[in-house]
Amino acid sequence: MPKNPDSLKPRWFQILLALANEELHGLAVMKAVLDQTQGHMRLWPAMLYGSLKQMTEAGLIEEREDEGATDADRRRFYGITESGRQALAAEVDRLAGYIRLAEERQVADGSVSA
Amino acid sequence: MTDRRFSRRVYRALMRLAPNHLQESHGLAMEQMFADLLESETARRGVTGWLAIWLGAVRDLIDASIADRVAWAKRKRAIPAASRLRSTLGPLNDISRSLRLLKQKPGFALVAVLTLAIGLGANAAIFSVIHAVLLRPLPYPEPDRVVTLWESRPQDGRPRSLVAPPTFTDWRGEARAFERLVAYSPGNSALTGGPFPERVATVSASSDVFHLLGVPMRHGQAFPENVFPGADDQLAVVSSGFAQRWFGDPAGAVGSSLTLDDREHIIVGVLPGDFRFPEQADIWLPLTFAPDQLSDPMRGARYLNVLGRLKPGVSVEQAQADVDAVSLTLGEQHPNNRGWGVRLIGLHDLMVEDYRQNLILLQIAVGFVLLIACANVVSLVLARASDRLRDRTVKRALGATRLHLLHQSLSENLTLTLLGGVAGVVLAAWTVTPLVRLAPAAIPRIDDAAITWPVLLFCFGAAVGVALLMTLVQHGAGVMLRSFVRLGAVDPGFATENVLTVSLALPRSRYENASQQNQAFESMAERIGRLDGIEGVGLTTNLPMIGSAWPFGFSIDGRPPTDEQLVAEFHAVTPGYFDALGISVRGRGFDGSEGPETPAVVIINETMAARHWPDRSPLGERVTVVSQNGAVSREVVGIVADVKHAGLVADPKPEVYLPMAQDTWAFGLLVIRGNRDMHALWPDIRAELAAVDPTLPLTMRPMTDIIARWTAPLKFQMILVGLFAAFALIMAALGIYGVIAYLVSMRTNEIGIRMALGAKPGAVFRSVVGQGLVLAGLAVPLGIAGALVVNRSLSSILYQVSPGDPMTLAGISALVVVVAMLACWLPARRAMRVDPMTALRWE
Repeated sequence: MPKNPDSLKPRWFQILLALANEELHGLAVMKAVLDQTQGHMRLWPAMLYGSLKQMTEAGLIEEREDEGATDADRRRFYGITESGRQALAAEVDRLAGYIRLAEERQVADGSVSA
Repeated sequence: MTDRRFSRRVYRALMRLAPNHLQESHGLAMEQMFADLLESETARRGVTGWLAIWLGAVRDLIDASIADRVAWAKRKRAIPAASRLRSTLGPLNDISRSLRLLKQKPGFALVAVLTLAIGLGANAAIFSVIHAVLLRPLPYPEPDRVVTLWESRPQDGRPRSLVAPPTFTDWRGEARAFERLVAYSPGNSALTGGPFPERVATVSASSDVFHLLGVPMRHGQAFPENVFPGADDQLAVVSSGFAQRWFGDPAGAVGSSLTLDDREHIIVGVLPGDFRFPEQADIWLPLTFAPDQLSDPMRGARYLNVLGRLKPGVSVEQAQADVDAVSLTLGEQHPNNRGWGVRLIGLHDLMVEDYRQNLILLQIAVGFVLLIACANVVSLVLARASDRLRDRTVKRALGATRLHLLHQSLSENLTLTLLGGVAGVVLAAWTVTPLVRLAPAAIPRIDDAAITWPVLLFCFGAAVGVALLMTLVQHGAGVMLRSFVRLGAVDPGFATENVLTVSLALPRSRYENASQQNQAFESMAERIGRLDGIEGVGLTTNLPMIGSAWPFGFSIDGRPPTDEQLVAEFHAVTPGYFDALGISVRGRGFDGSEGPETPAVVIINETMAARHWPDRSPLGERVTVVSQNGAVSREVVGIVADVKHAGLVADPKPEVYLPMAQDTWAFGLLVIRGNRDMHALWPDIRAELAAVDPTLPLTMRPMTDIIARWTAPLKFQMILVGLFAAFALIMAALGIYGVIAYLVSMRTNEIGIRMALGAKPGAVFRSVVGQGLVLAGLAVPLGIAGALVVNRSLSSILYQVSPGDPMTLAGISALVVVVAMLACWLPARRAMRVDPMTALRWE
């Protein structure tokens, strides 16, 4: 469990989001994050695997064996853990809270007054 | 793909920047991902994609390293370490920031990195060759102790001669400085027993040659250390390649027999595949001497190469002194040794001496290319620096120190050179293999050229050496290029196009005497001469440039005997030979009437005529030439033009040509000249030869192939220098273009104001082009002046090109002007179309 779920890093959030419904290997995680951020967040190898490593250590995700693949080309797949799911849900709640607030203040149509 | 593998290797090396624990647990995955990205982005966006991935990946590694250290410092709350941390992070932070800046200016980054990549890559490629050929030790145990020995008579212009058998055995018996001395002699033999007879390259060598080199056999055994003539000299050792080709299985070759020149030889050993020796050969035979070969008269027959291995602790100088003493004694005892000394040369020095100067010359040439590249990048960076003047002024106002700003541009340059180095090494890895294929096989060990650690170190060392004075050097590269063109165009002195040579050897078993041999040769020449398309046929014992010389003794009749034996290169030829090679003859020459019974005649060459009859014509004089029939006095009936027998750049030596009919040899080389491509005529020629004798092994070689052996190294360098000089010019052009285009784009703002104030597009165009041409007009005279200064120091290594060669200078100056015009024209066109509002908003 992360010490403070409120401060989930944007990178971690995006990775958890990408892993929410499927297990992915490294390159696929990078592509999923690139897609879901409309190309704004590209996770380069060191950044990506650094994050995956830290998140594994934090218990948010875990490595899964790629069944059926031979030793030679086995890739590491990553899947979300129960506590990862909780952290993601908490972060989504937190962000949803901001969205509700913004809606109440009618920010979305662009007519914000200073 | 090479590049893919190579990029991965470089990335793996760079991964050391990233935290260790990450590298250990996820290094492979990161590398795999990087390779996938690089491949897909390069496929999608070409070079830009490739560069973007490299920039991003390097920055990513640096960022990861910074993040890791910051996290570590936080975790440890290590306040005292904070300052140290800042100093280690400083450069990394700078590089990371520089990469971010470069990514914002991909065009600039691309030009700069590519320019440096070409410069550094060219240097890395040539250095890899230099390292393989010149710097690495030979693949023998303690190679420094292996030396070559030569008979030497420098006072007569023969500083390095082969060694006579009796002299060799005397050295072997008396010299104390050597563990072993061996002799060898390259040759060739007819190999029968296969599908068709063929000629193979052989080396006959003292039986302990492999003991001397310290090379173990791959299969079987070396020759016994002592082999006696007639007893067991029918042994053979073969190369790995030959064993594979002939037997299909190298291990199985041991114990098999080969028929060489109608004699059986038993294979006792197979050499390892990576065996290297000055002479390439398929088959090695033990060299023995019959007693008459060791007789006193044979001391003048110098035909052996000699190798020695120094005793441990003995220096080359000590060994030289040792053999000097031995040869002094020999000179007192034998007239043929009088005046002859010994010369020792390290084997490695000997092998590389022909290439050392050229390779170093090449390295200097590509060094210039690198300097030009650096100058171009520097000028681009300067153009950008003036662009960022405003930015700097603001920063200084905000308190940044001058040192800080200097530091900033330093880290930017470093980033550029490092990236250029990486790309250059990739480029070099691409080019080394084709380069090596282009190279003549004769360059020893060039096959081993590869991108190794020393090459990488060299490349990054070179990346640091940046200088500024480089407009001058582009002219240097141009002049060097022309020098090589001249060298390739030296006239060999005889016809080479559409000339075919066929090497023949008549077995003595069937052609017992001279008249039978002559008859066979004559009927071959006659039959071939009758074929359609043949313009000349002749026979000779020694072809020009084939690399074999027969120095025979001679004397001039009516002159007192001299102390020194006069020597001329010997040839026996048929009358058609000179015509077939297009060599002109003054005087009567051979007319076909020569025979064993007619008066003995000889033709000499211009060099011999000039040397011995400097003030009159030698025609009608008599010389006595010593040949297989002993000393025969002959009338000089002709003088032939000098032919480059010993290679393109060697000076011609005295030569004598005897009529084959008066001095018949059982072998020879047919020279056939036709009026069209000789490959088409070869089947007919072969049929005519077979009609005379179907069992003769024939080796056909076009004359151009023989010449190529000599010109190939020159062509190779010419192509290389040409390529690099072309690169240099392209880069110089790119540099000029980059700077002028940049200056024009800097004026966008000003142009917008002018146009807003009513300036006509045409006037704007003229002003922009005018500015560029003024710059070019200044650059050309400066460049020429500079080239004259630099080339003066180059003149020692240039061949037949005077420094300040007007053609070169004019050509390059014209190119500079054209490039400058182009560089102005493109941005000027853009400037004409500038929308004043956009221009004014331009930052």
